[in-house]
Amino acid sequence: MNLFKWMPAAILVVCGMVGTLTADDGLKMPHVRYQLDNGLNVILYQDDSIPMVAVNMWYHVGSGHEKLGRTGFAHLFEHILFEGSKNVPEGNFDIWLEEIGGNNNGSTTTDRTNYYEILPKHALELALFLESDRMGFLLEAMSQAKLDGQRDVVKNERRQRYENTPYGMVFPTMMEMLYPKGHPYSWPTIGYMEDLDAASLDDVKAFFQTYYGPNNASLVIAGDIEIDATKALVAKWFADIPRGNPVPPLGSVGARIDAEKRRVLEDDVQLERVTMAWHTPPAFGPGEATFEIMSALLAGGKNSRLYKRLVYDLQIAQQVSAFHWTKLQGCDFVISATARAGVSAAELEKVIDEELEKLKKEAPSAAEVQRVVNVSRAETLAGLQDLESIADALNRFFFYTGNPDYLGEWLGALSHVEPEDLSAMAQTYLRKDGRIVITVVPREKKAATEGGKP
Amino acid sequence: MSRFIRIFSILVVVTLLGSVTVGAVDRSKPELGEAQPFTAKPVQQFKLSNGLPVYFYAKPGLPLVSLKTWIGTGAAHETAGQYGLAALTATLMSEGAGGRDALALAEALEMLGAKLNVDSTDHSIVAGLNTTVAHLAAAGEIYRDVLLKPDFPEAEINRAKESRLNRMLQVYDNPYAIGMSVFFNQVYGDKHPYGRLDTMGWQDFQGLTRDHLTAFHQTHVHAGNMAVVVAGAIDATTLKAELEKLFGQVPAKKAVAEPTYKPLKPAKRRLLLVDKPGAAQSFIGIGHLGVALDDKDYVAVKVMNTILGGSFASRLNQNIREEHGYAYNASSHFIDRAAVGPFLALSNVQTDATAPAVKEFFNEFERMTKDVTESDVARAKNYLMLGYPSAFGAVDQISDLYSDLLDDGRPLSVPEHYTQAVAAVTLADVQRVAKKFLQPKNMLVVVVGDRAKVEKELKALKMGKLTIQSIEQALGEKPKKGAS
Repeated sequence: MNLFKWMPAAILVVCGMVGTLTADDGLKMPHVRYQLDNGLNVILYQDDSIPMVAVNMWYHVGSGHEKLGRTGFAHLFEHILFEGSKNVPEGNFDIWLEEIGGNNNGSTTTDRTNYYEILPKHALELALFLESDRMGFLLEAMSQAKLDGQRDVVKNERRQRYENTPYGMVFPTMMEMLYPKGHPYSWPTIGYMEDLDAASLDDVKAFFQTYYGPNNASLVIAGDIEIDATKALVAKWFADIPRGNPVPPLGSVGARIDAEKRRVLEDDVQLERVTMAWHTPPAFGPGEATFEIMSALLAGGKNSRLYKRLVYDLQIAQQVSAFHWTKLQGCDFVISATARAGVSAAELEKVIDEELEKLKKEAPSAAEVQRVVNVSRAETLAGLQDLESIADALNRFFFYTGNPDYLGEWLGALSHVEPEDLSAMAQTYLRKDGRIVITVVPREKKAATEGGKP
Repeated sequence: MSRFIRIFSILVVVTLLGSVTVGAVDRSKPELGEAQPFTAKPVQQFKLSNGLPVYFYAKPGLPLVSLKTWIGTGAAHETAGQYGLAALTATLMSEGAGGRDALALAEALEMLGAKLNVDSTDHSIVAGLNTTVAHLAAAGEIYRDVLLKPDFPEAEINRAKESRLNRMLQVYDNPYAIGMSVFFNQVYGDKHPYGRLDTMGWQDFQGLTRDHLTAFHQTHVHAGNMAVVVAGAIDATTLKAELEKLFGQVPAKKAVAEPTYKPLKPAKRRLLLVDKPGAAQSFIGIGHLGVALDDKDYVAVKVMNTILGGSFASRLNQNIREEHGYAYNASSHFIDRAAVGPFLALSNVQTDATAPAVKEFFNEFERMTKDVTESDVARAKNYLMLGYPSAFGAVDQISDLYSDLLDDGRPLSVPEHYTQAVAAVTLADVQRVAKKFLQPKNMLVVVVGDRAKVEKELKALKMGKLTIQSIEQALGEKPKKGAS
């Protein structure tokens, strides 16, 4: 049974997008949710549209929980979790999944680490065995060689994604500039090379024991499953893993920018780029839907304000983007624009500032907001078609709001963003003296402007 | 230290036992039930009154539908002096049509929550529309105009040309884009559409006019050169009526045959180093011509490649990433292309591991031709067959699958027979195709990296002639505005 078929309400929502929308649309993602005695949160979701199952485990720990001097550790640890555990010899995690047609991966953010498998339904138990073995029995099979091996891989991931990619250093620099030293979000999730070098086996043990207990995790199983049989399998593999100690909360340090901070990066690029970012309220707080809509209003599609000015009318930018970066303790709003050849980042910045001022002064029309809301809602639904995305969304909603079935409320919140909210939020949060600005310039150009320094 | 660890783990075990109920779990790998064979359901086929073929895959669930209109003409039809014309035509189709200007057109679709995208490949222009079923009629009318009545406004043509020139410039910054461009160019040559550098022909490109676009569109966009692929939660009768209304009147002409091209002749193994001073990693791309899509060994080659570099647990990734830690990943591909795609193995490796990594690639190619086991083959086959249902998740993923088949000139029944075809591959097949389709002595090695740090070691490999180029030597002079 496909549970997205559910409610006529769903069809109503999508059909009714041109008109006005009220309420939370009655959209549901019906699921079964419970907790094992050891604290593991379990969320089951049936969808038999294809004979596959997605298993999706979130550990509620990310780079924000790292210590200074050990940045990048949460992500390095994620890598180590694929290298085998007590009953899974090194290398077999992937081999066993591939030989039954499964795929798997994981990812780390500032707040959480996720692990997932997608596999044919007959093989569900294999994924539960693998996930439970690394949750309960990782250290028995840990070794210096595994740590060293993944350390090299992660250092190359850093090179590939950041150091050797055009504009790649903007993102790590942005995190450093947005938050004061020591703040959980003040270092890049990928970490610094010297900290990756410093990570030790003792760190692995301590991190595992502190953060990888069942009471700090949530498991979603979505797909062609039977509820009772799946519950029995979950109990079989997870119930006897002991509860861990209570997890220490994320170190909470205030973060406020009182004066604009600027930095110029040089890179091997042809086109200049400007990136600016501001603090916004914590995840799924009052600003979440507003800033989601704001990002599309400013830079989603040809009619968005910044695209239209910079790319379409003035033709001084090659590209512009805006996004709201959702994080537990506090989010960030980011705008980035790449200049056309011969145009400076400063010229783009001036136009961006003009557009932001305009938005602060004058609320957009209802029609403009409606257009953006319609796109955001459609994209949200279109992004929930495959099992992996559905499973991850249930875990994401659960982690940030406490309610896996937050979809309807989320769509409702998007629909309820008022034109005045956008102006008010822009006035409050997108202040010139409350932002960081990074410009990227071609290497030779910076050298020239700074009197030929290397 | 190790003693401490041992004591420590005993303590953990004791604690564990304390909390376990009677009859602790056997924690060895569980026995699984039988895998159920998966066969994709046949795609439904019908024709509109003008003969336009429609391929439809019903996908119940969310009330969404994805359309792909495939027009069988792309870059391969461009003559010298017109490089980029197919891509420019594709881009311009959604920049004003049926009297709506570019912004009004985008706005109308956005109000409907619909997404439209027109792309081009070497063999086609593909217009895609994702919409809710309820908005198919309204979004469909705009979609029809985009396909059949583009206005090609001069101002939009100039915008798109500027944008493309700037995108060409950005190729010079990106080691992956440089490496891929150079690899294809070296395997297929300047004249072959697969071999044209992304940056090639920018001077003439600036001279393309509205007349070129109009002529290209008139010649190639008609029912005799089109097919529509649909996936979604709609019934066939409703769909047929909608499509008849939209496209039933499009005249059918005779399609212009695509010129034929030949790749370059296989050459002896050689290395091409493109110097990117200061690069923290080297892009490595190694390969030669691959396998024809209608070759009887095609599926066996795919199984062989899965073992070599087609999955996480494949040999190349295990060697380059897991054993040596040279890179974040390594993979290999027999790329599907109508006129024989290439075999390409690639990775981005840390600079000081460049030469050793190249050597390991060739070790794995050699090993592949000598050492394959039944269990290697069984695992690869299962990986391909049993994971196949995942290709039928989202509606636009399904419409892509079938429009790619059209692009490749393959029958749309391929998915129905896919799992059986994989199941039929034997160990002997894999051993045979490894020897036939991997020719290490004729491979091209492209490296994009820091010459000062890698040249000496690459030479010392003595694997073949080493040519060194700057980025501009490899890609040609950087595009400049108005230099045509």
